Amino acid sequence: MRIEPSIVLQLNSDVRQTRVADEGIILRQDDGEILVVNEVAIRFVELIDGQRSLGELADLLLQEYETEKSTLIADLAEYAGELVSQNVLNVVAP
Amino acid sequence: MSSFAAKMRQTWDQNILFSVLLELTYNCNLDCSFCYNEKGIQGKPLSREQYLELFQDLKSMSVFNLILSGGEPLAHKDFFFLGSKAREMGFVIRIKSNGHALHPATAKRLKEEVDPFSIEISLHGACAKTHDKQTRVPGSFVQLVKNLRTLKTLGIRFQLNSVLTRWNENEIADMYNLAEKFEVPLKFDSQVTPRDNGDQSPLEIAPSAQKLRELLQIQHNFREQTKADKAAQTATPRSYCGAGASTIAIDPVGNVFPCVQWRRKLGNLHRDKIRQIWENNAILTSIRQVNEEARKNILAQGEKVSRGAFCPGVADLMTGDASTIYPSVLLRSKLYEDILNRSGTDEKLTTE
Ligand SMILES: C[S@@+](CC[C@H](N)C(=O)[O-])C[C@H]1O[C@@H](n2cnc3c(N)ncnc32)[C@H](O)[C@@H]1O
Ligand code: SF4
Repeated sequence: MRIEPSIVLQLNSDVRQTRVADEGIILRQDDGEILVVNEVAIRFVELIDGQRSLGELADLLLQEYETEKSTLIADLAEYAGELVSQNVLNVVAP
Repeated sequence: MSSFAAKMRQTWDQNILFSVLLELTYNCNLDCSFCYNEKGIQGKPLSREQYLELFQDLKSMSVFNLILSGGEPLAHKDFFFLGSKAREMGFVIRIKSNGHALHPATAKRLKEEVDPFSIEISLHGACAKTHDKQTRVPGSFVQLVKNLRTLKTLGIRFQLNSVLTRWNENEIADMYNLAEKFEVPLKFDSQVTPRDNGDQSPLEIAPSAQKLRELLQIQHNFREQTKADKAAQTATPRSYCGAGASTIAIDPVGNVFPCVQWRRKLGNLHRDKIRQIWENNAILTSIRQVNEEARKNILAQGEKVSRGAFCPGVADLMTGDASTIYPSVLLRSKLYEDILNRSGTDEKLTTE
């Protein structure tokens, strides 16, 4: 699916996540599927609150990681699309 | 990116607290004759507020799994309050229960308010006579089967756990059949342990060698079929197991131990903060050293012994020394070696 910067995402209710050292672990309780993700990805997932748009999340990440805004938004959009298709995230709005 | 198994090894190697087992209460609605709990434990139970503070601390330490056990965890007066708070805070909640109280209304509440990732339910036999002999509550088997049906109907995830004993050893196949009927896994534990106070009387119902071999053969066949993650088996963590390395256990009155089996007291939550115990505790440091020594010791004894599912906690309880190899390890090793010789394969039995 196409993810725009204005999109608002939330974690599916069966998703649990934590950090182990410099990586993250995401569990989908419904099917027991586990993903191991890198540091930026877990930070992105931690920031998702069902309120802020993808663009706003990118702004927050830009305060923590040095990268180009346009590149970050494109990467996040692609990654968010993957997580939506993996039933980790769902789209709240628009 | 690492695999999940590699991440778990990392928690052991780097002492990253990942799973915490809470024995919420030693109260119970059943009365298993072999139960290891120290029912008459002295001390003040942790309050709601103390549990909430503990949850906050565990969250700040990135703990993932919260295992609610007991006694019977559902017998704790604040079970639903604590379970729903733990859920809100994002823990993966696992429950160890005898299943006796999981009537439709309670089971529904459990799913809605606590939403556990798994419930591990104890089964002591494949028929009422055997199961109730262990629980010493007539009707508990019939009630359990009824409750398992309810869980299934409500779509609640669960698995069955059983400890192989002399009383249920002739029902291994029937117990697997029962689990299959509910389409859930059945996990057997082949080690009857002493009670937490050191009383060795539960060992009187340890299974016979013949039946233990039968179970090991089934477990071996299962591993062969599923080809369990070889990478995970061959990775080399520093510690023998997760006790005190990635896990701890806390009893109802706040005593903290490296593991539910390894009852060396590290501190008490009425006095100490969990982070302080985890990061700066002389006893825990020595436990970690013993755990590392135990690994070297077991490896040095060769393949034979490393197949015996040694547990430093059980060793400590049985012999007073966490690195001493106790008789049931040697028995399991011998039986397992025989299984491998006959099947013409070779592999290491890792700890479960
Ligand atoms: C103490 S119980 C607490 C949870 C719950 N009340 C139950 O029975 O499942 C945890 C597990 O320990 C097992 N257990 C109790 N006493 C044991 C013993 N002496 N040796 C081995 N396992 C034991 C039980 O069968 C159960 O699977
Ligand atoms: S149900 Fe669990 S806690 Fe209760 S007596 Fe049996 S083993 Fe012990």
